[in-house]
Amino acid sequence: MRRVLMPFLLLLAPALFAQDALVHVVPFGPVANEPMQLHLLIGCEPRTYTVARTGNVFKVVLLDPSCVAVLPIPQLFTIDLPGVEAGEYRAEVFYEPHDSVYASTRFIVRDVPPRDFDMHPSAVPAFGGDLRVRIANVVIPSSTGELRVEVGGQPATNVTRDPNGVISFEPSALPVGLHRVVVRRGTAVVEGTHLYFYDRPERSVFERILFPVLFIADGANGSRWVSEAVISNPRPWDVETPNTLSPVRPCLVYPCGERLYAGTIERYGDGFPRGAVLHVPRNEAPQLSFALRVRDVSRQAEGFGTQVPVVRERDFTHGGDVALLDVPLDPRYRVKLRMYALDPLFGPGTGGQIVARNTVTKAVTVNRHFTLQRVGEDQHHYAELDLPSGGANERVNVYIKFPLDAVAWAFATVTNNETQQVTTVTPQGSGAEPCTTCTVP
Amino acid sequence: MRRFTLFLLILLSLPAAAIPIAVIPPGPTSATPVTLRLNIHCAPLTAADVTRDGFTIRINATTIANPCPSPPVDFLHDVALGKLPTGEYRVNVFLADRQFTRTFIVRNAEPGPVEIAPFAVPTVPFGLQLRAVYALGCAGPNCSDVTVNVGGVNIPSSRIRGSSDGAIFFDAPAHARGFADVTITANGQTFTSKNALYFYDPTEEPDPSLWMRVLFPVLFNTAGAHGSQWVSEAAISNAGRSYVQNFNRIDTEPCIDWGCSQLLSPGGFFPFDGSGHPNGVALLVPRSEVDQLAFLLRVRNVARQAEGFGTEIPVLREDRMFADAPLTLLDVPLDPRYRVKLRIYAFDTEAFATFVDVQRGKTFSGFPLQYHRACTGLACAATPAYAEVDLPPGNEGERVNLHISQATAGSLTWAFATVTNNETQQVTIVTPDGVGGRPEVQ
Repeated sequence: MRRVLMPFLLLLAPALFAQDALVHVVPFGPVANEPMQLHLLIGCEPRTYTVARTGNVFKVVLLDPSCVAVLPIPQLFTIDLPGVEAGEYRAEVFYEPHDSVYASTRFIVRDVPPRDFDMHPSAVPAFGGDLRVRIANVVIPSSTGELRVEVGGQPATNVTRDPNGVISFEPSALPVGLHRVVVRRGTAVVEGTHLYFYDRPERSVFERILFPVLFIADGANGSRWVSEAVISNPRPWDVETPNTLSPVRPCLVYPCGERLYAGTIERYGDGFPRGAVLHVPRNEAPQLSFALRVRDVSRQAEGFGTQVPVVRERDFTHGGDVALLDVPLDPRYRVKLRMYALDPLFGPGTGGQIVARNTVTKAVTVNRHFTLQRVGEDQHHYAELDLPSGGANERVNVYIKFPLDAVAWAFATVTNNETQQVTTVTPQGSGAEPCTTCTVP
Repeated sequence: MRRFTLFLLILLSLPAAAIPIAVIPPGPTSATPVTLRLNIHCAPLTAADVTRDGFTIRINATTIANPCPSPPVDFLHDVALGKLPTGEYRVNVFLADRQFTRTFIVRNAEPGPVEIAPFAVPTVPFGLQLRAVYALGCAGPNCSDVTVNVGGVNIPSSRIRGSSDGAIFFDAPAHARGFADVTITANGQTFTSKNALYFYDPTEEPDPSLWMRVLFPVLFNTAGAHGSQWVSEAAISNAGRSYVQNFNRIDTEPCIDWGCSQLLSPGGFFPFDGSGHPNGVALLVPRSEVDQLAFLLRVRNVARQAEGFGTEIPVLREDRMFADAPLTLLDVPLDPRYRVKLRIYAFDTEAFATFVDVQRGKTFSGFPLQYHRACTGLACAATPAYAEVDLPPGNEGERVNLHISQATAGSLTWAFATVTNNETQQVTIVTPDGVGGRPEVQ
């Protein structure tokens, strides 16, 4: 068995799976000197491993030549990596005695934003353009001479400095990757942090922000549903994203993002009934505010709608499940479950399971499988399920089991059949299903 | 105007934060580096000399000699201590003629081969059973071949029972306050887990390094406008396989005095109707077990059964509250069809008030809002400072952004608005997301 399984994975993995479907780095957006892990899909659990670093390449060798611990199904194996300085890295995993790369992944380690070189935004399009980058708190040990800014050795244009000492500039077009920013005045030089030039939403640089529903559609009983999403950028710098929530500008070639201007609010509302992921530079994402509501506008008098959470990466469970507590199965309501998973999904693992247990009797009332489907390039995976109605006043706890090591989130909408009022049920805490076979003496 | 607003805000925020020494992370283990964040009123530190003698940490701090600036402000100063051995620490900060003190607990990240839960145990437990795993030897209910010793106290064999998953359960003994080792002998093998448990005194103020506050923003049962009858529906789920003993209880079960803690059995689901806490209350959950709990909270108008299933209200772990950052509620309607109530919560502050900036397009107007906190004794650990205001209706279709100032440096703040339709009593909530604050002028 072991001799079959391992060559099978070795041979087929590169062909069947995306590169990061076998290995990826955690956390997804590592910063300098932060310990990291590689999460690896493996069919033969190694006894141990070695990690060696040459330049910006980590070579990981898994040691178990005899493949003693054969696993019936591929499992998660974690490998500790040390914290490193900012830069672009690659991790290659070998399985002894095979000398070919079993799995590999590429990732960026970002700078820890220092207080004395507060630069925003931290990511700009590789093609250049007029996006201005702003540096605050920089102290230049010279007050004479021309103020210059270089990015990746190339001079920036339109360099200005305001009375508060804030420097702004437009970087030149540069190849995709990290490029160091240097401020010069006269003979004084200030080595700053890195600016990332992107052409795609690189995961270690951009945080995935999920808007679970963005649509305008007719519903049951003459209802007319609209979503109202708001993004606020209260900071004094512009932020540009590699994709957009605007449905009228389909993205054909990356990047095709949106500029969120300083101090402004943008509104969105349609085009993504299965949700949309906005990729936001990780250094700027905490500084943005989001809001989302769904409303039935056919009944203006009914209410202001229902708030739906905008889900940041930290709100997703990683490798765990999701629990939705106290969901009604009363026939007065219709209940829809929506399941989301971000990349990476290991291998072909897109299947999940939903178990609903009566809150009183603990009996299983619903047991269904679901399959996550990718919504779009660089978007999330999605599935939905309408829960069948149960008895009057019946309530269940819903436990949603996602594929191995998935980055997952889910919520339920409970809609009153008469009034079309919507209540959301979102995960709040542990997603684990209590052990039902464990006896507590 | 802005300068006046800032001055007013700072003035209203006096005096300084109630806890001048914060521990980062709030619940450290022997594997996590510890930083002390000193919140110094009036002047920044110029030096902080640290000495550690066993479990006592002394910090001699000095500040610049300048008098308190006008308006006075708080300054944060971080003191890195690195990793600390397991134990209960006392920090003494000496600053001129003042002294600040606090204690904190460092849990053992690797207590040993036997995993014991829960970690926090009252000094006089009642009904609490501890669960030990990896101590194989009594796969069935008969555990006569197993002996357990907790901090020098032998557990009677009749009180040791096996679980179907191979774990053993045994009664938590009474024990003096402090750490305790657990020794288990099974199948002739002895396992000892060092500092595996911490016995706390439930009559003493709960140590923030041991307990996490989980905020239930509204727990009430009350009549509202237009014949509405509002109820809160809440629940706590313990998905873990061990018992969890919370420091307090927030349900409607009768509680004669403080010290009525809540025991959550493994796999238990505890729904309850909220009552008695219209201004919010925190459940004090042991940090070591908080990840195995889940929560829910809804408010419903039960006078109109047909209307809906209610509105979900977030239950806030303190690590999801806003620290040292303002909050923003986006897109709040002031349309006269709705009534809007803003509720603000703050922990670890003695500020008298906060400040709310109302943004209409590019214009701003603001007002101070007074905090209230009605509590006595130990209940204050679970009671947030609270402020609320009914926003006056505006024009038809008008929407505003609300920017709410942080209570004081080092405090934890959260806020939300309820938008209630005057006709149908339907409630929509607006909650904050991201680091807020009014837009900065470029």
